[in-house]
Amino acid sequence: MAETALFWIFGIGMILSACAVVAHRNAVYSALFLVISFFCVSGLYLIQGAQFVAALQIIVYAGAIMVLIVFVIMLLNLQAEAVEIHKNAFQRTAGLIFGTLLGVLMVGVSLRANEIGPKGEFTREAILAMGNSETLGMAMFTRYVYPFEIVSLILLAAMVGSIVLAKRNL
Amino acid sequence: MPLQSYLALGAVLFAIGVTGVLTRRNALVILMSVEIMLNAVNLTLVSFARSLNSIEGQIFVFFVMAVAAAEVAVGLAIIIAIFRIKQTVKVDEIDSMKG
Repeated sequence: MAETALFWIFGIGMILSACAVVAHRNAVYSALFLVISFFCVSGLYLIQGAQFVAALQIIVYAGAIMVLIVFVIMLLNLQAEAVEIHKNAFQRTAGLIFGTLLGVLMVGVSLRANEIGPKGEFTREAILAMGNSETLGMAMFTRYVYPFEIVSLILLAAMVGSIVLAKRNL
Repeated sequence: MPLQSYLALGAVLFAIGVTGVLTRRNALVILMSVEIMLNAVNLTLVSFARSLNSIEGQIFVFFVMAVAAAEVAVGLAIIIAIFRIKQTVKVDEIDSMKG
């Protein structure tokens, strides 16, 4: 009962703020609406019992990625986009039509989804018994320690790459 | 809520992200739309993880978030570098390679 209500609240909030991100002329407003959308997604994670991922969403997405984007928007001192319809009216209409068609197709497919295949052993009660972060940590550091270390290399590469690309003089 | 509701929600969010990438000219808003798409995929992964009683879905989301953070950092650095030369972030005006 509460889950249904919260699902609709967070779901509608997420969809509406994502529409505002895409539709608004000013990039700063788009960034702020995206932060709202991230908070709603985090709420949806919490409803499903993925507390670690929900906290990570707020820390990484809303706290790091959006801060970066807002900094760059302020740094570049962008003006609000003037509505120049005559230049790319065709692209705008075609993009809207294609996006709507893709959305209808994907919603149609997902409404007919059935979960087939064997179910794992991490039921909701089992995860709650041990704790979400503990379960994730147990799996991450035993079975998936190799991708975990590779992710640290990815982050190192991204750090070096972004500094080299954005430096004024090498 | 059944699995299909969460999947449909993720699908709608993904379609909104695709519309943003196709429609907007500001490179930063295009980057934000890509982040919307990644969030839709994360939502689908967590929904399946809950429905199929697995923890691997949430681990996958962890990795997707890490890679998304790295990608945003590099993408923003590229946008800054292009802005320094072209004084614009509108992707229509970055057409040096146009035939």
